[in-house]
Amino acid sequence: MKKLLIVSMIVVLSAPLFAAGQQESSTSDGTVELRFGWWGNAPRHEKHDMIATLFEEDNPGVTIVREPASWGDYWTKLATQSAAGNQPDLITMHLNESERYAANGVLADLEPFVDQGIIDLSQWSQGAIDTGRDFGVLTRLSEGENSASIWVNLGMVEEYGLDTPDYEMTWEEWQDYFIENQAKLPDGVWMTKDNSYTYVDMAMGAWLRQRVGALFHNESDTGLSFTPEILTEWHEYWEELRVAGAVMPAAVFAEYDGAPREQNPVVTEQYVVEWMSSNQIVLTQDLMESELQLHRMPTMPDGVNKHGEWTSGAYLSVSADSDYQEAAASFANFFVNDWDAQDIFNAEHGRPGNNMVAERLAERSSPLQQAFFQLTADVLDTAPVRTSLSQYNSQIVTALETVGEEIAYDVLPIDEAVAKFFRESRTIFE
Amino acid sequence: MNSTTFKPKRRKQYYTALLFMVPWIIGFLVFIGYPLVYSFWLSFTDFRLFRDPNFIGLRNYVNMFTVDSSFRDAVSVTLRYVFISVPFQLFFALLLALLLNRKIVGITIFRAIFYIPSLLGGSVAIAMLWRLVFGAEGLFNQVLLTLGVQAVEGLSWYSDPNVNLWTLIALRVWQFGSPMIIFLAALKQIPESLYESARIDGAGAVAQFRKITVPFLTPIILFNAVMQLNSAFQTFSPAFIISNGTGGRLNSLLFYTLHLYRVGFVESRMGYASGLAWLLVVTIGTVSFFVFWSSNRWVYYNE
Repeated sequence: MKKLLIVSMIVVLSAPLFAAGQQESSTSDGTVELRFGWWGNAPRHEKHDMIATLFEEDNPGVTIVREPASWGDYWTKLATQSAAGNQPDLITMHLNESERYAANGVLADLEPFVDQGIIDLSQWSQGAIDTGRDFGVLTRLSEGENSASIWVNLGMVEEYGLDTPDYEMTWEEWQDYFIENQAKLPDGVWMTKDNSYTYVDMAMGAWLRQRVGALFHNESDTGLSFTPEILTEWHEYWEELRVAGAVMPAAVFAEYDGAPREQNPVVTEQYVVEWMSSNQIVLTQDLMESELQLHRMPTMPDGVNKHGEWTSGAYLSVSADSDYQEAAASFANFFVNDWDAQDIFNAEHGRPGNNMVAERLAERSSPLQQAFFQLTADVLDTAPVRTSLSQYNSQIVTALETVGEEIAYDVLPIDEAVAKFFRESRTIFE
Repeated sequence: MNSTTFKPKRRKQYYTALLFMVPWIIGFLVFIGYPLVYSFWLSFTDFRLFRDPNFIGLRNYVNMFTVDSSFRDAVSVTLRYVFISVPFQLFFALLLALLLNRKIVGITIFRAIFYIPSLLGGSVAIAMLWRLVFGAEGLFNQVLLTLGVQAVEGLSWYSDPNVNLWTLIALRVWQFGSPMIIFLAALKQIPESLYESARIDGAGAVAQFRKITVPFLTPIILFNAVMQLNSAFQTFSPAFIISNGTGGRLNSLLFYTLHLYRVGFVESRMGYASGLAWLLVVTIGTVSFFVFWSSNRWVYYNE
């Protein structure tokens, strides 16, 4: 009797330890449980939830376990889960993260499901399909493409009698535009923000692709793609704008960095020109009276590439460890191709890969949404496909932001900051 | 009873006890012991998530002190934060405990009210609220401007790299509740008779405080100091929320743990992050040791 008591107590006390291992077992009644992870905010969670419900209604026996997270938490969580082989069956991917997951075999090859007809890419342009490849393998289906872009607040242009910039202008033309028109603005209003230390991955990334024909790292990922002279050039461009008073000073901008969309300075009309991902423009426009106009990133006609920006977005991947790859692939297909699903999703991450869907969405959309689709198509046509990302990319970008801040806050002169960057970055590639 | 009949029973009891401890031992080994040892090993490797670790000797530790200027920023921010906020926090906690030790009608209500900030604590919601209160257009500036302090116009107390650390120090000092409660309990333990006899001998309030209250409180001051030092060194969420996870402009809010998080989870450099974590453990241990060591000179145990 005593023995029985002891054994049963041990079982009870140890139960929590073993429970953790139980969650992955499949349900016994033949139904399929798919875990679906994505990042976003409340409205985006709602869209994903509605699409999952729609799929569950069409496919009795399939349950989708929702695993939403914020952008930052999502990647921390996914990295930890994947290291333990416990990632969701359906993984929302991003171009900046996909390679390391693909390289480690986390993402399933989707080509077999295309061959079997589970995934239908007949309405997709080759370019849209190819953005979903890592090392040549189709690991992702695009949920929507967007790119870096420039927005101009036309209400402010009219109010202060500024010139209207062209759809495409060179870096020098933009610089002249900012400096000349700053004179027409009152105190406390600026032409644009200082991208020397913020939005570095996109703005400086695009500039480097034009200037040296590569992102931050060299082809073999053993060093940087640029020299101290080239980094100095980049900072001198922004220094001229700072001296002319055409960019919002760092101390003022700090207040808006990471602030919600409705406090963005282009919405509150504290500067005229914003640099941001093109897919954000429609939601931002909804918050303001003034009209926004969409422009390409600056061009460099005498550079290695004339255009430097690239399209990216969110992608759907299937876990290579999933027990239900087929069901997961079928859901992914539903998500990106089904009109009812796309009707709900409404180009949340950008122009959809499916051309029929994109056209149908464009028909009913605002002129601004159409302009955004057009700009994305233009980038796909004219800018080179983005080459692979350095495995040290975030470390390089952080270091560039840090020295950029030191320059913008006048802590260090450009030459010393550049020297410091090159001194510290030598350990990155060790 | 001779030893041969006694032993097996003892042994049986021993095994039974061990059996009962098994769940805890397994939990400790799996969730604490193994990660601890493994991270110590990782700190001597170049481990990145998804990539096999290679042994690189002391290079992580050498790099911290020679090339990583963010590390220097993080150490400086954290030391200033810890050694400014903790003394202030303990001072306020003691001050309020003394006030709340009076026999006034409704004193328990006051005690509850003063404890509220600690209940809210350094939670995410409060850090978000502080962003609104201490922004350039925030409540704090509006109050100062109505009082005629023009200098604060446009000054953001959480984003300006010159002042934002002070905002976080204030946030910590504001959470004086738990040391306050502990001080209050200790104050209740001081025998009233000591004060009575001191008063009869003509000791004033200041003398009573210095000669009776403070000596009796020293063990509690030691306890609170060690606890608060430990938690201050490990502060993470307020800096993470207020700086949006970036560590603030010019690394002004780059707390040590935030730097560790960024290196590990943003840059995937787990080997280096393990090294940073171990240095933190050693630092906290050393500081605690010195506090205990010095306590021989100033702590009075009423034994």
